[in-house]
Amino acid sequence: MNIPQVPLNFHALIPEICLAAFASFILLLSLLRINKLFLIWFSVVFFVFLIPLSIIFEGKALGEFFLNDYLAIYLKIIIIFGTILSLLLLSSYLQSRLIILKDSVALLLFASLGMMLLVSSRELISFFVSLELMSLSLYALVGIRKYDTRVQEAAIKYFMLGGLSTAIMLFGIALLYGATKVTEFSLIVQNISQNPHLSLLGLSLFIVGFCFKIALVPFHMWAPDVYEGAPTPVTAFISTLPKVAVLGAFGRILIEIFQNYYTQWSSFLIVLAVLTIIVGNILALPQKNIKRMLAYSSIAHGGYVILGLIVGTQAGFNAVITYMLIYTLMNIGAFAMVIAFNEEEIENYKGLNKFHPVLSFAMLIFMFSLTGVPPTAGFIVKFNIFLQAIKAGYTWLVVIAVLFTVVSAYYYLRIVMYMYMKEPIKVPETFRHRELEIAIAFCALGVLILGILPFYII
Amino acid sequence: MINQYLLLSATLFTIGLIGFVVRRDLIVMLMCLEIMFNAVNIIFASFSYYGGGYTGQIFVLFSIAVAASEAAVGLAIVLSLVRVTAISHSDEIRNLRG
Repeated sequence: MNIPQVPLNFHALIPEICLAAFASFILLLSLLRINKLFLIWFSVVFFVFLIPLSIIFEGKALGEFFLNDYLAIYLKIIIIFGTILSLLLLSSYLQSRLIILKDSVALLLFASLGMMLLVSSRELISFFVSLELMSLSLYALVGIRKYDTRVQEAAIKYFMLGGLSTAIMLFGIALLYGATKVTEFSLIVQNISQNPHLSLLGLSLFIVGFCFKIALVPFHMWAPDVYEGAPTPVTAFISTLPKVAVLGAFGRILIEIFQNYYTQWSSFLIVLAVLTIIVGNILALPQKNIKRMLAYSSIAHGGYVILGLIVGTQAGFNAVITYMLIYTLMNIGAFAMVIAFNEEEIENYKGLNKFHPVLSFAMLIFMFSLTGVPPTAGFIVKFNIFLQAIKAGYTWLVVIAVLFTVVSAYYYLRIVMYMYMKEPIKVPETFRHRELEIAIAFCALGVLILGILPFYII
Repeated sequence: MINQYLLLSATLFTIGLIGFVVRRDLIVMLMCLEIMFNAVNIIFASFSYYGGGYTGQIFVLFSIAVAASEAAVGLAIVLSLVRVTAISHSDEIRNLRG
């Protein structure tokens, strides 16, 4: 047996190393009596500096453990922007509600560190460890508010099903390692045809873990409960960025490593995509709680995104990534509106336009974008994904997806209709906060500008 | 020889999975998660011994560390749930439904 030697070239990892050091520093800093708002803005400024840093340091790190190429950089920039927005959302909660824990900032940073490592990992050990760094931080982040029954129940559900999916996925990874005897992705590609049955078994378990993480039907049971129970800024975070990271990492694995098994995994994902689009959209219809409704809607969006993976080409994967960028903007925006309106029951959104025309207009933009109405960016990216699927010959799949997009218009536009066309039933107690308004303005402008000038992202 | 090890680990994994699904006690569910992780460790070690190089054994070390931190987070969440609600069984969780 030969002992593996790992070269110590870590230049491409410098942004992650900085983030790890910074997150530990924040953890120490939060022990002192320090202004929470300062902590948030300090982290935001740091993340802004992280963007050029992650663009500069391209290339491989630690042998082939990590690879920072243009796709990884694109995904990292989405993650950085999403983290900044989530930090701003979190700051509104730190001051008003019961979360007094400054640890939540550090947990958020560690979760985003895990995601950044995940999208650039090119090896099974680094892949697994960064996935777990992300997941463990998220479990703790969901349960961050003490003495709240709903939050604790959401945390336990998230943890139990997340742990189960991790165990199943680790089993798949072990079988894959047994079939190929190596852990680097580039070597797995060469060795994968040695033990086809074992590799296929590993692949199927791997995909099950993947479907749990991005909440595809029938592995979606945890998502509505967790999204409803968790504090709203945390919900905004866990409903978007983990999906970006997991889709980015898994999509590359499926497309690059398992190219030989394309027919097997794509047929499995087709079934799941159809189920997810139908079940997600149908179950979103009767919901009365807006967070629960947005949870089912994000399950349905997972189904649309999978269409891009099913195509199995690089163009399809690029469509997936651009979709995730816009999805992050509009979903964080929608959850920010829930915080701003300070209201979870959909009934109470009636007549909000009379009191808050600007906020109502922002909500209108996010709802239009989630439905996929031009000129918002939600239309462009959805169109792009459907176009790729049609080019690959999955016309029937696109027909189903478009039909259920029409169904989804009912529950998104119902909120808009309530806000603009109904009489108010009570005076809303909106929640005004500078950081929250900055985040909403950023998301709304992003969705509008990228919708009108889409060539920056496609 | 490797088939016996694989059989052992598959059996352990199935025991853990069935226990996780059937049992309602949150602590027992956590233990079943640990059983599943350990089953996977056996696979890694045995594949490593039968011609896979040292990478599998290194993976075992990482997997043990991750399982330990997962248990720490899990116990903290269970403890915090029990403090608020005095619930320690998964079928008593009923505030979030629908």
